[in-house]
Amino acid sequence: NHTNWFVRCLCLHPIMSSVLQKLITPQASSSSDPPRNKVTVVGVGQVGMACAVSILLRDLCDELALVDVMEDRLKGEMMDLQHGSLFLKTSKIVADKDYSVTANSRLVVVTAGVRQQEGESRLNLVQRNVNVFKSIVPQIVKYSPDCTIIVVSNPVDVLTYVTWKLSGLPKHRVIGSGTNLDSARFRYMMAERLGIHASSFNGWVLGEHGDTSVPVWSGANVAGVNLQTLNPDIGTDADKEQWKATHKAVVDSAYEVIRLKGYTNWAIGLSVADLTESIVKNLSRVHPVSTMVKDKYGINEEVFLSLPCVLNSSGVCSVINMTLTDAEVGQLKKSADTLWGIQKDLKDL
Amino acid sequence: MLITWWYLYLAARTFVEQTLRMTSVLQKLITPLASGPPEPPRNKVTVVGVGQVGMACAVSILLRELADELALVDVVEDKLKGEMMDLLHGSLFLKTPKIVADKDYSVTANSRIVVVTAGVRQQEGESRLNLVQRNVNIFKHIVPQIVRYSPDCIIIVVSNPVDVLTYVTWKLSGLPKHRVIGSGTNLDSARFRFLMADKLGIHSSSFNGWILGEHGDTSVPVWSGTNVAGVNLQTLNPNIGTDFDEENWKQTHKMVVDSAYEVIKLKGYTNWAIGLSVADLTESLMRNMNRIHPISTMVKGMYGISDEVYLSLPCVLNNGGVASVINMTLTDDEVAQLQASASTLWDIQRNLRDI
Repeated sequence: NHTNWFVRCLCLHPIMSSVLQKLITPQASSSSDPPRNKVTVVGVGQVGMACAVSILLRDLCDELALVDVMEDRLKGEMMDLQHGSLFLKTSKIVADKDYSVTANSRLVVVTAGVRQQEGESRLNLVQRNVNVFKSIVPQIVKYSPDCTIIVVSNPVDVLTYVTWKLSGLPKHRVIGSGTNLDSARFRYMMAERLGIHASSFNGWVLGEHGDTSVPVWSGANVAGVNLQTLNPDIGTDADKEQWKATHKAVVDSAYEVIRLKGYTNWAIGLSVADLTESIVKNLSRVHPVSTMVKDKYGINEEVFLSLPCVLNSSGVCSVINMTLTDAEVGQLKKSADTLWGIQKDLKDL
Repeated sequence: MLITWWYLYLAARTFVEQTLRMTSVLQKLITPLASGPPEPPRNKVTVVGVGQVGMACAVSILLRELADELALVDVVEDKLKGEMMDLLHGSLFLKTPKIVADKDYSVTANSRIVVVTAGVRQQEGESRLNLVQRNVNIFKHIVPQIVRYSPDCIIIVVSNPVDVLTYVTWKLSGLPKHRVIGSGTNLDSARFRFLMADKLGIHSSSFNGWILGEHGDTSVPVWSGTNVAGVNLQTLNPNIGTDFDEENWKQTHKMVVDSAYEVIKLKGYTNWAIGLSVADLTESLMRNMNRIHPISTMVKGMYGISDEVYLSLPCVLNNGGVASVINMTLTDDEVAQLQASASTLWDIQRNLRDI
């Protein structure tokens, strides 16, 4: 033990260098560059973590920050991801309930808030989630004033509006995940009926992410062959093939998955990673996402609805002008009215 | 006049076609070419158990595009169906065109790889070895069904205590030992490499270090082999991993052992890291890579171990399963630790009934 003590004293002598010092000679000066493609995920529930994992597995960010109010859960999730570092290409994963950890994010994905119970509609969640957002959004913008925000929490269209108001960001920097997921489900289900892959079926679901979403049947096509030309009744009640049922299945699918497993997360996580890819890689791909639609299609209110948007590193670079039937425009207006009906009653934005 | 009749005739014919013969959109749009039944899958993966670990494995495998078909099995039917639907809804973003699920194992037929995550998991503070008998009983139902429908598969056992349950699976399956592996210390080694690399300011993949033996409290960090760019750390610091080490590198291994307990305490379970590590193994097996991984394999006859136990050693994995095992140069102390793990595990195994 004396020998041990002696050895320990000797080691305090500056000549004894650590393994690190012996192994590695620094070259670049110690300050490391700030991240260029940092993504923050707010909320580490099932949806937040599905977004995080999908983004990590697609190698989309060089730094990932997680924020939540539940500190134990947050730390546990961060550790579990860090333990997978060997298999990932995202070298820095951080987490804290303090938003300083989110500084310099390019993209912030907001999944925080309460979720639908079985049978509950998304619109029912509004006021509770508005209150949560009042504590979140200003903090996000404080630390990442140049970021783009993707809102995922439901009801997404209303909460995207709320986020836009609370953030003070220009409207091209605040998007809602919107009907990106509805369209993905639609394309999957339609493609299944035709025996092809979802990516080969072109179809857009726009408007509200929810019960009143609008399937644009007039645009549905495979390899440019327009389905409505093949079947003019498509999407109507008169249609013998009842294609309309497929859109109904899209609307019902979230309720069904919630009924079966308690929540949905994988599909929404994958769809958020898809949007993230377009933004972070400056791709200018077109996605149906929730954006500010005032002054389009005769809508006079500041509501957010999903339209096909060109997404790149500036956020919503532009919006595609859809050719919609009068009925489809009517449905969009109806969604807008429903949403404005809720928004005008929200307090303190 | 004739032209009018002609047009009327065409209109009538279209009407007949539309209403009576009723060619569907599908028929109008698509003309089949290939005939015969659809091709069987070549790279099918089954995941048994759709809890947090099973789904993390499934999603990691899907996002790494390793399978052309994914099957999920569980006993809880609603949850199973819900998980399958949630994955299917993401089809647009994936390259795995067929995702199926059923409580009946026929859905798993022709799998190349079967990942078993079923069973009960550790409660806070509970050791993995405590889960044994409960999980053995579950495996008695699962394993024969797996082999029945995929007699040529490779089974990756993940459920804990993984080394014992890999042994159990091997016994129940009747498969040759090179086709039954345990996820073993693949995860421990990944955690070790992350923690060590973090201290050195480099990426995990640039830190070489192996943890072998039991996946659990008695895992063995092979300090004598730890290196960066071939520079052996023990040569730089001969006390590394001992209690005399001023830098206390041993603490890093202790953190690896504790990390599962810590994550469970914080979030209730672990899933992401194990899911990623299983996808890593799947990749080597599926793509016939001959990469070396520390996974649980039958070690009787090695290092003076005379019992049929499964422990983690560095194994070369390819599409046949465990192609070979690397002969480690271990210190006497490290060999003794392996032997101690083997004894602990054999003590448990010999009391197991009906396998």
